[in-house]
Amino acid sequence: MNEARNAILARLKKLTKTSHIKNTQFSSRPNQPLNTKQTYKLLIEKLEENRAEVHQVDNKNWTDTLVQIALEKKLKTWLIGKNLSQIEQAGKALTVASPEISLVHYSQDYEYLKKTLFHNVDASITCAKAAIAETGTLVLIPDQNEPRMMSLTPPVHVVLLKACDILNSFQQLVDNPPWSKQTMPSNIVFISSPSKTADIQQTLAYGAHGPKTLIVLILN
Amino acid sequence: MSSNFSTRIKQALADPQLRSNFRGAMDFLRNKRQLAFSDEDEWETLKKQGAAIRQDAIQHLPELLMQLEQQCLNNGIQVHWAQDGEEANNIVLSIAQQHQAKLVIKGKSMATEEIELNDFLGRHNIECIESDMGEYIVQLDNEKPSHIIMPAIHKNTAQITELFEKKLGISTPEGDVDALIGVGRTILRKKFEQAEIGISGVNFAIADSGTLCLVENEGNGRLSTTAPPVHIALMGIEKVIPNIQALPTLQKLLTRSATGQHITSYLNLISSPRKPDELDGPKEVHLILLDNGRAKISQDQELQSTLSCIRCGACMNHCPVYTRIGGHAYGSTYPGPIGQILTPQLKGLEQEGELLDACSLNGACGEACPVDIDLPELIRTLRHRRQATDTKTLSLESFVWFIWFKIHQHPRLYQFMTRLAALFRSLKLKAPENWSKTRTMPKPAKLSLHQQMKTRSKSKSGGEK
Amino acid sequence: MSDAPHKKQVYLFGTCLIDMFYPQAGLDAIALLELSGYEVIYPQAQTCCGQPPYNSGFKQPALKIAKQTIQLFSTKDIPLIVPSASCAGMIKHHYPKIFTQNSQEAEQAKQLAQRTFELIDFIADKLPYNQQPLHPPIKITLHESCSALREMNVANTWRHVLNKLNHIEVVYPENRQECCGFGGTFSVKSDAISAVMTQDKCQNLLNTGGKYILSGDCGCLMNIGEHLKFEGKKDPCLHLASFLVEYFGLSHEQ
Repeated sequence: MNEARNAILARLKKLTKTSHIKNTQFSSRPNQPLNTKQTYKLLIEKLEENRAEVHQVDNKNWTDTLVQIALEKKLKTWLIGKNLSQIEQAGKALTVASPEISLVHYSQDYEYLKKTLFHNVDASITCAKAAIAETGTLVLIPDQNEPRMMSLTPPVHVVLLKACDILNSFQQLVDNPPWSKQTMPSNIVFISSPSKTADIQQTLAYGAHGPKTLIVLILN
Repeated sequence: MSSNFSTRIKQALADPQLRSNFRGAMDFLRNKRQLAFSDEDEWETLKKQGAAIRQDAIQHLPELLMQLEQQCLNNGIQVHWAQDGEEANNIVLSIAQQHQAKLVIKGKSMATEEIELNDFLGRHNIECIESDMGEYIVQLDNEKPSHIIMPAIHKNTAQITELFEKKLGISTPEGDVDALIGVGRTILRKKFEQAEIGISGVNFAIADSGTLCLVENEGNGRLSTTAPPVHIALMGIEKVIPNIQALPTLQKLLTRSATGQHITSYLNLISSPRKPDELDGPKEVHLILLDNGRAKISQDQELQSTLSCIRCGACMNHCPVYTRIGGHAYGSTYPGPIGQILTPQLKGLEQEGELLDACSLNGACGEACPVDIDLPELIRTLRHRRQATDTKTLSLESFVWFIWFKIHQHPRLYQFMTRLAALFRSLKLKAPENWSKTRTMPKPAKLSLHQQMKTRSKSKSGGEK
Repeated sequence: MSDAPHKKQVYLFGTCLIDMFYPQAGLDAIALLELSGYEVIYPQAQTCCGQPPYNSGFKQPALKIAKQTIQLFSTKDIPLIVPSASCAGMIKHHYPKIFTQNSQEAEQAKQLAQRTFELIDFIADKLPYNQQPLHPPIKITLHESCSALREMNVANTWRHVLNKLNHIEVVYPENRQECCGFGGTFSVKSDAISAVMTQDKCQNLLNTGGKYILSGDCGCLMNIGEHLKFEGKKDPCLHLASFLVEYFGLSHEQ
């Protein structure tokens, strides 16, 4: 295999320049620097355009909204992460609201929770680290507290986002990312809508493999 | 054109269902793209940036690939290099055998189609199932994808309903797309749970952080690269980009060009396998860097821009030929304009050069390309290369152009021939029967422009001859 | 010469299609150029721009003809007018590329390219729009050729010129930017595909109900016209130059 590597690199080095890569300056949309209010509005507009359900909440009432969603949509088994006080708060509120509601803590290796994750979870709630208004995108950084599958297997996925974490553009995010440049997170997921496909005669259908419903709670 | 290619073309043209399916699909995709790029200034800006990023990357491939490798290794991603499809397939096989894998689930990857991975694994008794809905449908029907973004674009809802009934024994109500998707979801969910290996492609690989970027709408890509304990990513060596700053531009160009979306449902950035304190994600991540002819292309100044391609499919969506003959007629992994350019370079001009004939050089492809590849110029260049390496120097076409040249080189001979043609009102073009199947022959004018200009200048005093 | 000593001059490259099949379009081009105040020089030694072999992959014959053509039109440093977007494109965009970079031929080609113009684009701002004769209203269909849309980027100019004409309604076919299927040798080498494209284009053009089908490219007009005749229909195709000559009531020398 070293042989393959050497052969390929040798083939590549014959004519290529040895000068350094140009540092191309990238601009976002040349116009419109949006203010906070406009950014906020744009995010909601884009999310709703792409079939996400958006609720504007505040620190006091957000768990009430969550409970309301759970009861209305009859979501009984909730998958939540660990070590996050806000999420613990949410979990408590849910179980208090109805005896039918139970929690699954993602606190074991995936291998042990597989069946549950795929078959027995109605909804999950995770936190977003940031959001991008120009495309209506939530930025999640799965980690030991909120593993990757949380935003993938449940049919309903609820995302908690702080309004102050909303950015204008993708370019803005990568120029000043909410993660360490030195050690990249193992996974970063950008979510902009429920799972969908138009593979059958270009007809849009939701819930292909990922969550069918995406709900965003924006914390003011 | 070989009789095989010609036959496939004629079959496609004679198939009203295929014609209608493709017409509808291409019109739909073009309109969506048009809406996404309605701001002309933004389109021009993004396109220039995207072209620069891609050209720059292609001109720095060795250093970028080495940096990518180093960063991936630092992150715990294992890196393999494959000179061709056979090596790549064997790498996948050896990883599969190490894990005694019997079931492989695939996200979407045109590179794996290029190396015919599914068939290879099948020959080694490893089931390789497609999880992208379009790919799954196509696999079910024992076909190859007919489009690089929407693999089942050649089928309509009725045909897919019938296919599910026939192959799965599952009936769904007529025209019910949601039901069909539901069937796929249920069946494939089990596979995500069971598969020992997940295989994906890579849309872009970030060199300075060792990060694999994947875009998708369905979620199958994320599931394929998260659920199984082993993830193998296969990537053409040209897909590397220098840093994450380049990603927003390329993402915008890719998704808007492909489906008219400003962003797909998911953009997934993978930088390492499951870390020690993490609970999920694959325990092993492998990146296979595939050459298979790309390094050679990178060395060719005239054809190098082939590698800028970000596989968006816009060229084929805008191609009036592809719209009418569909993807399968090309008989190659990559159809449409990019296929006509890539396939002869990967597989040989002699075998695949005929693909170049299915092009009127109308330029719609080049106009739509989000990274400004001059596709018509590449087709023309490849035609020149084909002719230059043509061993059949006494071919009919060579002879025709030789005669053409002799006539047009000598003005008086040319004018004589023109007069002769006018006299006999017959056409000196090659193979007139191909023209006259659907058109009448144009009649040469009684007096050519040359003749009329001669008369005109004689009646004036002076004037050049 | 009895012409005014400072009359501006231009070369005309008639193109082989116009020379052999549509000479009237060439004469009409000259009429329009003269109307715009130019003396037109038509070197008799001109033959073809070389695009047919060039596009087919036969670079050498094309290169030799290109060299010849460049020499012919380089005696004077005056504009070269081409009544075909496709041939104009060949001279303007491909001649500089066909020769070895930085060679003398390449430099000459670049020089020629800089002063090469598609006909309608050249005269667009020079027509007497404020002296338009009266006309009964007429609907005409514009076929924007691929070369006009893309390579030469003059399709907008064609539209603007027509939009400036009184009593003209300009209509466009569905899928107006789609190729008519000519593509030069494509029409015979990939005849099956070309036939279908041509059929579709003709149908879309007819559906507009225009009295004439206008374009600045005789290749397209020939493709469309001969197909319509094959279908037993009238040939309503006319070069933009010929339409404009008729519209402005110009007479031309026989």
